[in-house]
Amino acid sequence: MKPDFIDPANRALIGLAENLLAVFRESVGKTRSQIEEESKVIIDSAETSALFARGLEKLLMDRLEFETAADEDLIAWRHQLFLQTSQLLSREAFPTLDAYHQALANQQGKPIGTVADTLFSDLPENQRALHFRSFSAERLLHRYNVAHVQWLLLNAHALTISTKQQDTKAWRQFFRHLRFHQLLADISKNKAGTFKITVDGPISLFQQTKKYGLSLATFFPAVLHLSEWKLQADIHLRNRKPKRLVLDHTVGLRPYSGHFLAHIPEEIAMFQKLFQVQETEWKIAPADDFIRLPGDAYGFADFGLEHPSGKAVGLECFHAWHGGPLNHRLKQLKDLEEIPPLLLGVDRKLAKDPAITARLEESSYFRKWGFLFREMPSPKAVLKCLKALSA
Amino acid sequence: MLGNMTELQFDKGTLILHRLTQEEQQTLQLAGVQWDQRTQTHRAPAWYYREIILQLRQNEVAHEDHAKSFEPVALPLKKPITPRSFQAKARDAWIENGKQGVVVLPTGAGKTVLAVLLISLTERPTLIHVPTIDLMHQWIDVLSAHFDEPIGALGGGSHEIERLTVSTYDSALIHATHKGNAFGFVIYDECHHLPSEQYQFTALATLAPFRLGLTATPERADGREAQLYEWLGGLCFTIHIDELEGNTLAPYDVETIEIDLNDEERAIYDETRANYIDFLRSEHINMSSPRGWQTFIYRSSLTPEGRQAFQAYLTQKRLSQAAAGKEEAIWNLLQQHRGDLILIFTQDNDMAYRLGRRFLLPVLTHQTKVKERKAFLDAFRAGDYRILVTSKVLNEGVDVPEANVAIVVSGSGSIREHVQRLGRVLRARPGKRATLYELIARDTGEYYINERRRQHRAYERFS
Repeated sequence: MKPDFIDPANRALIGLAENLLAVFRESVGKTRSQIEEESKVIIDSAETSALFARGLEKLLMDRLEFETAADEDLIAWRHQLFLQTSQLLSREAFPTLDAYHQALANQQGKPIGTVADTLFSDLPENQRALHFRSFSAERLLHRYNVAHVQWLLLNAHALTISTKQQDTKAWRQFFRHLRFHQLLADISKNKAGTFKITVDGPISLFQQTKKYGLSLATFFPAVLHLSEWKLQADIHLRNRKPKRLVLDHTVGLRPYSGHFLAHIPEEIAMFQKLFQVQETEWKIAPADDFIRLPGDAYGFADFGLEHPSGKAVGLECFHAWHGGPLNHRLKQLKDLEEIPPLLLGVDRKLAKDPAITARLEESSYFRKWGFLFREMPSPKAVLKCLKALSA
Repeated sequence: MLGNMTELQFDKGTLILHRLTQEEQQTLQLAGVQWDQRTQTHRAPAWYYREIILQLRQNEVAHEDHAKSFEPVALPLKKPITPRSFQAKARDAWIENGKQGVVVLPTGAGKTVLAVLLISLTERPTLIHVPTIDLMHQWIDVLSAHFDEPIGALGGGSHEIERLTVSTYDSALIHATHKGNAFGFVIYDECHHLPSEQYQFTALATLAPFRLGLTATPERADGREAQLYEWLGGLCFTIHIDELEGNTLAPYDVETIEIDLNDEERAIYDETRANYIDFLRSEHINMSSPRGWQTFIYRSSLTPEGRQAFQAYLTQKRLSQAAAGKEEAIWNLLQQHRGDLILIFTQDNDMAYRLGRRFLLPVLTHQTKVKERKAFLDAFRAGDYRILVTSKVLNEGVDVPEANVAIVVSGSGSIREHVQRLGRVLRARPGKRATLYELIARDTGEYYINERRRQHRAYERFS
């Protein structure tokens, strides 16, 4: 399957993008329907496919923030009006519609046209734009190509990514996004040093389900931050045979958000800060490399901890939705008690699950190198494990 | 320590069977179970839970069930309910079917009351799936009336989980991976929605052993009702609209009113329809084929002639659905039915709001704010609002028992939609006779749409 990418350097397309951006840059204060009317003029006169132009319009609409607060006075007035119209129409016979309108106008004390215009003035088409996040025409066109892939991935059940060693920020965000989207990742590495990461969800073992399509589509931008990558996914569009999508970094897809890498969630930053205040020897930082696990398996922790003596260990936190991955990790680590590669933090909400409780009770690895936490780990719990490691 | 005992665990819509060996699985052939190379465990979709537990028990295999997180719970009714005879038969058929199955009842026949009976009888935490927020509120009201329990809600901004919880299908889908083991009984209202590519996950990912599907129209154009029966335990009871008319359902009439386009509308309609049909012919597009519509959308976007044909399609469609003469017909019907409770159905929101502005009437669409939706429906039920305009959101399920007149201004060719709309006005009341009016623009494509949607026994005697 070959996606229908557009050429972001195409002058005609850049021109169209610029024209549309001009409308949206002047959109603050205008209603949704006014903005759509103005962009329709450009779309209708464009020499390109109208579908493509409407795709650009949609991407720009998504960057608009509209005023959505309910107008309580309007809602109250509407209710009273409907009570009046209900009574009028059920009790009186009107010779004409105009006669009914006149009777209502008299009750309202204003022309019927004004009443009708006000009646549904809070519909989405009448909402006013508050803010537009602008960007360049070239970035809009690149964004279109990424959105096109995301649309295809909505219809995928799984995807496989092949990649080599990466910049640590990129790895970190990649795996953070994987965990956030509750996707399962099977990681292996071949002799040439290429990692193969298969991403899907638990039920995809049995079922051709599109349950994970949305997760895969929203996860995909994380792939674009890797410097070298190749992606394969089988796409199941309705009423068509499945087709294989194959892409790599050479197609020129660009990541669309710099904030993606820069953002560190507040609780993580807080934990790091607190830990470092309480501990002077061990150094903590967001993890920057894979951890080798038994067989061909690899893991990617949340944090890396290093001691001046050269000892190093990862810290991996399992939150409420990580039951399956925790089981898997406990199994992988069961023979590694003596030289633990990972400390394991488990959210108390997850530990309430009787099956998880049983797993944790069974695991001598967890007894030695694990701890429970609420929301985020406490430095004290981590330090207790590190003390045992240093002994 | 559990030793070597097989242990079941719920994991994101699936069951993991710890310590089940390959040899044991070869012998037992537990339903739905496969080896998962990714996690090195045996795994099955959660909906096989009932069958797996029964197989383990039958084979006297010791096991620990850590999968389900619910227990039996007494759910007595505030007041006893005496079911109608067909409700009692449906109840008995469902019990005999192992407390699972699909029950087909016409709209207005009291399927919610049947569900209440079965909830009380089953005595398990129960999750009810509904297609719309309005139905969610309706179910909450009914359950609150019958049970002395807090009623949870998922959807429409609510997120409260209780032993009895009502969820929209969309919200249930989001929570299925975490909550699939929290309920022992799942009910799917308007269950013909369930086999859709996304919603099916709500049936696959729950381990609830007791299941009920409710619908007036199980048939789907894609034939997937077979999957519906597979996931919910088969079709266990059916009763048709004509079997209940005059008793449980109000007697009714259906009247078709043909509207002439005015001269200007006729000229534009003929020209734009010709433009649209010519384009289909020149591009060899067959709109009856499964990909007809997508092909038309794509090809029409490529050229100026195509865009013109697309605009022509929209114009001729709008003229047939929203002909000026229809407004006059609606006005006449409103005058004729002064004092009645009237529902006006349109094909799209634009037409609904146009009628709302024209006649200064309340309009209920997906754009109506949540608080106002409830207020509109409450006012309509109480008779404070006598007329309500809607596009599609009231097609299904919403109970407006006093409504006795339905005006279908425009609609799709869907049989289901047409039967459901009729159902909105059929709730029996002493002395009530319901009427459904169909407004059809004469000599337009609407004629064929109307013919298609009337292919149901509810409309047979009016053809």
